[in-house]
Amino acid sequence: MKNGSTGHQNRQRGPFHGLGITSVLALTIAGATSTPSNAYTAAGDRNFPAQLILPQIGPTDSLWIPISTQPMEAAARKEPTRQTDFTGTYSKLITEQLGIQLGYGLTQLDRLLASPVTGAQNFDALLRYEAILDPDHEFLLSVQVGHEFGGTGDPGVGSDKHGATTPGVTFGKGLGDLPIGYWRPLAITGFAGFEIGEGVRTNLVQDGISIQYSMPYLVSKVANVDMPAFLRGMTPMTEVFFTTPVSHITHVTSQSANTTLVVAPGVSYSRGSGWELGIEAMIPTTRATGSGIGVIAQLVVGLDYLAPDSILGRPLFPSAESP
Amino acid sequence: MERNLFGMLFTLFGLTLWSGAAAATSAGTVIEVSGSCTDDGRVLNRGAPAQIGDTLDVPAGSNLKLQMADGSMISVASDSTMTVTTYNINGSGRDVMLSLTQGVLRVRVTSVTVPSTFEVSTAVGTASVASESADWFIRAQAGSAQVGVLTGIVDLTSTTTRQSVSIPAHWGTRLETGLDPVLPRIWAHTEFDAVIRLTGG
Repeated sequence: MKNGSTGHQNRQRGPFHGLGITSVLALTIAGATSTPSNAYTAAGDRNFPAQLILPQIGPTDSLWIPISTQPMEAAARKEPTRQTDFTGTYSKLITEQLGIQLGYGLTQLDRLLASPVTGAQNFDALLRYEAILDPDHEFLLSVQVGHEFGGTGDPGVGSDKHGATTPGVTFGKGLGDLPIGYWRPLAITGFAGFEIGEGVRTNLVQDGISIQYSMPYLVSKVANVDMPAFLRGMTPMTEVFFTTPVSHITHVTSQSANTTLVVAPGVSYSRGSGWELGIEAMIPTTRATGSGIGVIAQLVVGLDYLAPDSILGRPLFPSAESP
Repeated sequence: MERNLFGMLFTLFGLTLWSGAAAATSAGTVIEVSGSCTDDGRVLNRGAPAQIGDTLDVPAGSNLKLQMADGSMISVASDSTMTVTTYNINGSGRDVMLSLTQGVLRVRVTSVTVPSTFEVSTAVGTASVASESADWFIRAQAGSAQVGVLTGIVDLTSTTTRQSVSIPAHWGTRLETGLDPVLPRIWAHTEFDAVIRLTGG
């Protein structure tokens, strides 16, 4: 579509010709939130569970499959009333600290007074390097650069014909090294990135944070709390993801109107046996983010755990082998 | 004449029983030793047997390596104390229980064609081989135990909570007194190298 003020051709075509810029941003963020998360990333005795909204905090050998659905506000015929994403992401270690991640998926849009459309999302790839790992302080930090390949998806479901590159940094910090008793299972993770759009695509500042309380950490590092087995694997967490445009946006009421903020409370379940399940509500807090509470669920398969001696579960270039 | 024959037969029978019992209690043989390692107080030399029920003491600065009756190898790091609680291998199965009071073991468990139980117990929990063969480490310290697996799968179970985790190759975890095992994670090669150095390879 055309942005009326700049005359730039926007990323959307097909049924969204004429879609508002806020809807475009909502689609963008919905797409972003359905991508990568973390599996079996650990710092010392702290295992950070897979995240559903934020990018993962370290490179791994794993596969994760999130499914999300989010109601949207449609003001005119053919505008989307709900977006549902099915995504698959494969993460592969190149060395013990460097990994690559490939993601692809499908999006289905339910539309107002029109039949649903389904199409491919843009293909994306990401390179991530774990720069700091401090097991004693349960801290790790990674730097990453991701690229969305424009035009590889279906414009009919909002896939942009322009690509984008997003350098960023992620971190995780467990509080287990602090003398705070039953608060020690708490951990904080965070992400900061800057999406640089190609062509007329809008640049975005991206930030996120999560707070999580690990029951596995509680019962293995703090106290023998009597609770059912399934609760011992639970990690309640809340993720918050924020984006705001910083350029290319004109002819809109204000940039704040296009800011997206998703709050996602939920829970992750893992008993350290090679798979992990997570589910979160996606609560939009700005109009640009969505019009109702969505849901995201994710299955994570730890290839490094389930196939530790195969090429799937080991770095392509491991460190010198131990005898 | 008849009495002498009975006497000889009785003696032969007794010798057979004695040698059988001696063979049954022999768990393995010392194939490498450095420093003043002892077996229930007796100084161990290369070729010495390790019997079921023996407690092997490897003081600081020493090392010990055993070849067990089933072909498995056990390397005992310095400053370690281990008891051979059970070591039975026969046509019906393998039943091994070692008790590690303190220190570090490297255990290379061979595969056998019979049902097998191979366990190492510590004060806080028990590690049990869950694969046909395995090459793994266990460290017992005051109030905790640590397991790292090079090949195979090892289960670690808390004595107090009875909760357990399975540790695959290249992974490791730890267990603290009275708690569940920590969720396993991938061990860095430097972590394996550290325990390999302790056990002398």
